[in-house]
Amino acid sequence: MGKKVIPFHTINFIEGSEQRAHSDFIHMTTEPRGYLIAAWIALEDCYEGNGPLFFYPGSQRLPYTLTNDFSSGNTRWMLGANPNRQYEDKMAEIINAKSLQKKHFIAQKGDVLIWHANLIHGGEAIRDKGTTRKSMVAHYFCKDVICYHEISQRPALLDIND
Amino acid sequence: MISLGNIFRNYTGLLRRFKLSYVLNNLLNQKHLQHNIKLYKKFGLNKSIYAPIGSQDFPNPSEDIPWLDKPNAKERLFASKKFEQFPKEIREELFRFVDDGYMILKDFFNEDSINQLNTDIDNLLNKQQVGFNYTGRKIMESYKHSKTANQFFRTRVYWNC
Repeated sequence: MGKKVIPFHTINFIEGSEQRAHSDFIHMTTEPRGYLIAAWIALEDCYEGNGPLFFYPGSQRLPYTLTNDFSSGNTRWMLGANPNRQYEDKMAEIINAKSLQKKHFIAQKGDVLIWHANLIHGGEAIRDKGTTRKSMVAHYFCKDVICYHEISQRPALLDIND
Repeated sequence: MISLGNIFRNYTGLLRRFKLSYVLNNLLNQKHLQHNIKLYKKFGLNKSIYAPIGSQDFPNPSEDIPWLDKPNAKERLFASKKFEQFPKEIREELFRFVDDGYMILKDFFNEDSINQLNTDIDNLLNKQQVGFNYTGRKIMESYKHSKTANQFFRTRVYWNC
């Protein structure tokens, strides 16, 4: 990355996320841009039915999609009614327009996937209802950059001494 | 520490849309924002560290980008002594990160440590020391409650890649 990396937060999942395609950079944005990295850890085996993680190789090279690129609905005092949905619709449009090829990560317990700040990814639908897909994802910012959440316009709260 | 962020974690109502709510949360978490005083000055951002911030505040984004995103990233990897020390599989994965934006570390964490982490998460959920946020799927910041999760979080191999 070229700068010291600092831990930001972790998210654990018991089931697959079923989250639509997105880039983490809309939720963990930096200035200068791109100084975020993520690591996803499989805490049990994945298969096609338990909502495996998917991603679009090479999508990190696309321009960053930010609130000026879709109808967030934000005003001076308020956030839009459903900016996440608007954003995800925009990402679906980009994926279609660019004919991006989806890849699934059928991970085994203990495997790790590390991805770029702008890699488009998400969680596949859980085909076999009731199955688990335990996992943990960790996000890391770089030190000495401004970190914030583009959609809600919150500056990131950091324990900078880490 | 009182944190509106903790309340919002499970809240999906109208307050979530008011920017003032986040400003209040920022004021309650001042110590986690102090680093921005120096950074706002460095990047020419003339606003309070408690105020909303977004890409519109940076009409001319910095040209500074991570070196792994630069056209000569592979040459720089080749030239790195650290890169030479990685096994062939890891070197190939690093190239894949440059080309495709991801890398895979097969069988990186051992079974015992993962079983311990899964047990920790189950126990934390049972004791309601952690819970799912408003999405109903995400358990935020388990590393603050589980030594094993914290060890996973701070495994330095990520930081050196």
